Amino acid sequence: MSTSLNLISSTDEQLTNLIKVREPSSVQKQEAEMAFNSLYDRHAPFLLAFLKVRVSPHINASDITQETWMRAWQKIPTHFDGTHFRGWLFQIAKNLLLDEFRKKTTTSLNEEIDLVETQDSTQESIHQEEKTKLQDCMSQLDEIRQEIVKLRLSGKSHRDISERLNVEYNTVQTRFHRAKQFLEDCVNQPQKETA
Amino acid sequence: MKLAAFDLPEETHELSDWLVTQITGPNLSSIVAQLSAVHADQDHDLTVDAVCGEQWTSILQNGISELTQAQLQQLLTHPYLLMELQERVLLEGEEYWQKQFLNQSDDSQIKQTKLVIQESLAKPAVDLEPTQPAEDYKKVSYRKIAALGFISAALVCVAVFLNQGPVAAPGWGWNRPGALTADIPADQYLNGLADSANEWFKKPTDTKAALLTRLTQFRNGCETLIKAPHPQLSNEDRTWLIERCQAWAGKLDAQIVVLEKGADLKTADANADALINKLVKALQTRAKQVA
Repeated sequence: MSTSLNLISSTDEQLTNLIKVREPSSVQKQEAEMAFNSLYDRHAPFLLAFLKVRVSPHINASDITQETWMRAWQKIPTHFDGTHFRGWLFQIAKNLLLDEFRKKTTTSLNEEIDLVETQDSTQESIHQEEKTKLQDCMSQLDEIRQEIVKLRLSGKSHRDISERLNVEYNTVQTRFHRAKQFLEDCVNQPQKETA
Repeated sequence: MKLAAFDLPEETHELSDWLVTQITGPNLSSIVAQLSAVHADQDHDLTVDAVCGEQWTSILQNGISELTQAQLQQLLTHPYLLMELQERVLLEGEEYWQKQFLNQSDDSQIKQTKLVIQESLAKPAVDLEPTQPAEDYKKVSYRKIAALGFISAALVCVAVFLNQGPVAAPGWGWNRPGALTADIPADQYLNGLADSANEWFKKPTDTKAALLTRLTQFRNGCETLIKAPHPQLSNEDRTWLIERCQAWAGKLDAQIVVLEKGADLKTADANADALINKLVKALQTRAKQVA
């Protein structure tokens, strides 16, 4: 492929084809790196958005992002079939996330574990502490406040809730506000409180 | 911890905008965790397709503003769907979604990562993808692997010898004679590699020159590890090891570059220690899995 190729208007497939023919210390290597940079500019923000909400809080998303791109560079010549680059890139990232997850749970895992199950577990484990803490705090609210919080966080307005529970509008507002305040205090404190 | 999920707006049209902001923002997992805690009693059988149905094409083009209040409520009460939705609009979403994600993207982090990747690409060692696909290993007998391994190991030894610079002093870590050729079970082999890597901590790195030398030596050992045949390991473990090594090599290269550019010694030393500790742990964990 010619060096005059406009990388910005090239398709992902054209760019990956440039990367496939790279040879060290040659013009092709330079072209391949430029093509890879173009792919990076095109897809990096989306890969980062994907990873940022899937890595555990103690893992740096940048590390996984970097590793994903390095692996893509290495694998494009032999493993990329030319279709849907971003999907393929995300799959590399998912595999790396699974590796990270396995590292933390490995002693009880074995290779026969279903991939989908493991992926679900990976997602479940993210912010698990936050979820458990909030559940625990929720259980300390009285029933009516729990119901108001559930309805409000299912997208119902204060007025809808007021009609549904037959409770005054202002009361619903106040109870929800206080429940939120309590829960925020509760999840941010190491010791349990009572509503 | 801020309970951001509790700040959702009341009006339906505002709710869809708020959801788009969450789906395209960096706090989605936290929002999902909070909603999951509140709606813990909900089943996990619902799918995005079941909720969005025929509107999917429109969603990819224009977002979720056309979803009804009932549909939005299903997303909120089954928050795992938000993660699925996010992945799908990241992969298939059109201009509307692209703009939303770009509006919230972290440009400085993206530029910084690009710089590190460019520096790694500039090093020839990154270009190490084997010419044969990994699947081909399956067709080769153990004896052939061992024979190839012996030849490769010999070639590696020659190459290491010929390329030996003033700072490269093989003899410790993965360059220690016999470190990669012992005829032992896979788990012992991986633990042995972890022990070899741990030799990093045996010598002080209290000056920049010492740290640079030690990092370069370790990087050379990494190179040896990447090129070695590892007949002690299964195909899968061998592939895993080589892929990890390539990743570690990239990180070592980046650390060398940063140090050469004048990074603070204490930080660079701590980063190097952290990386070595991480890779030692990865090897030990894999050894446990293999066992």
